[in-house]
Amino acid sequence: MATAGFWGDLALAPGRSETLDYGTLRLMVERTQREVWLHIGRASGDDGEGEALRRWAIPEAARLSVRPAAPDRLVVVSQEHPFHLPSHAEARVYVRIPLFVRVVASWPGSSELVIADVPSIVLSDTWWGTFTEGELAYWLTTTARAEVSDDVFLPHVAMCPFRFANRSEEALPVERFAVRVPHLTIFADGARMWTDEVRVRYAAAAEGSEIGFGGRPPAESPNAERVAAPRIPTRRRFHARTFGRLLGF
Amino acid sequence: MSAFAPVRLVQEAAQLPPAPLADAIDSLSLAPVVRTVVVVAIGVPLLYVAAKWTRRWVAHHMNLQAGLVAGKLVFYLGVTILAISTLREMGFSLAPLLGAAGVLGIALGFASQTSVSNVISGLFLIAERPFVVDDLIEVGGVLGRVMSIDTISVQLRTFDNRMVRIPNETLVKSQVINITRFPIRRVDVQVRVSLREDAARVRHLLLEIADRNPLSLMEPKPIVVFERFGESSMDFMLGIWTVQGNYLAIKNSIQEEIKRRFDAEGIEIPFPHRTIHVGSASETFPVELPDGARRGSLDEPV
Repeated sequence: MATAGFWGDLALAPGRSETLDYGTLRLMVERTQREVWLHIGRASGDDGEGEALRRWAIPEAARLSVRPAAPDRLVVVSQEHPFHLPSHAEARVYVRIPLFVRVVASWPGSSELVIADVPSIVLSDTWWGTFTEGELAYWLTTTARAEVSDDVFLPHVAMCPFRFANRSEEALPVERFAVRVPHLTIFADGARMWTDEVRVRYAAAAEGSEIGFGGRPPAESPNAERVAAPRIPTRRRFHARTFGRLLGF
Repeated sequence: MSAFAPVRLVQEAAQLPPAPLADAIDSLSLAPVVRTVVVVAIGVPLLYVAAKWTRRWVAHHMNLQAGLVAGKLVFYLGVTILAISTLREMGFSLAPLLGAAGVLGIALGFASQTSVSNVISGLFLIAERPFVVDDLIEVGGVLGRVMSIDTISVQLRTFDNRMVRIPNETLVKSQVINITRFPIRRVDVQVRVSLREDAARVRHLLLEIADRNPLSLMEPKPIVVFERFGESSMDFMLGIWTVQGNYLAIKNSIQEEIKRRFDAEGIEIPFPHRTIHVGSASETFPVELPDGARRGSLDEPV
């Protein structure tokens, strides 16, 4: 029997195992006296890497926990229904980001050891940049929604509030945009997972848009608890390319 | 006289003031030899250390290629200085040597045109940087990974683990294809299907196969080009973008998937065939059997 979307300490006695489901990920954690075995599988139909086994030798006193984490690369959001943002206008949309699942081992006298860091849903790869330079990213097709309701929350998916401000003199077509998820902080408000708010100010500048991260729970869940720090700590604001697509032959 | 000479010599020596050891060695003409040995013994290891340190420092602050060149420059400069110092210690005057070197230089210049050309070409390669160490390049049909860029030549390691040395001059004169310069690459797969197939359906299937391959990038999007009507087939090209490191993996997996899907969908991958008509396009080829020959069937064993 698998437990769905569980986050927290995993109390496993030697010789016992636990199966956990997150999105398309099926994670079986098996504990022996001095080892932990992780069976990482995928639901059928998902283009994952297939069944994988990871075996770690850890002290008997080690404690295990399962924690959410932001994806390890930026996510390019492709909208099913693109919209245009008029000049000098603002818009706030919500994007659902599938989380990574981290299994962490810790024991007295040692720092925490990440023994698994796998996506709850395997996203396709894409390229963000030009033909000569750029970075590998995940591809996410979504309907960037203007409102959220309780039924869209899932334990393995974080809701990311995105605020666009078009400071240019032309309307901004928002068809694809990059979410720099390694800089996001994850919050939990009960079963509802959130990220901090991302603010993007577009001014048609050569250096890209100005991107800012709230660093605190979004206004919708002000009392949400921080459950994961950003993978890549960063300044609150920086400039990077956020809009556009790679065309060409 | 001769019988008493050694005795007098010893007596004269005993009357001399005590000389330091260096003077004694000098008097025996051993000093230059000792100094030369000392200079070489200290200088050569120092030179190696200096060259190694320079290579590491420059490689760390610039790139590996610049590091290799800087290390070699320091080494050769040091060798030159060491050689001059050694010659001076040995008591050679450099003036006649330099004069001789002028004459010798002309002779050597004629003899080493190719080497000098390679050295200058090497400098061009370093300045232009068409490739760096670890790049995968193709030169004159040779495909290999760059191991080192030296003063005279570039060394490649081929995929079957052979070393190929290419003179720098050749590289400057030849077309060099740098395969790994850019981070993403398109994998082109040639696909042939029977002339009776629906071209639009084939295109749709190919794009679907590309989309489902986990190594294929969503952007740049995969493309399908209907290239031509072949003699026995319609020829398509499926182009899929992937990151450099996945090139071989996707080349294998995509062709296996095409075969599997085409088999499942009943799409025929044709073999070359030719229909021969004689005289008229609608009549079959007349076959005349020799006398006594029996008309057989394909089902009968031959």
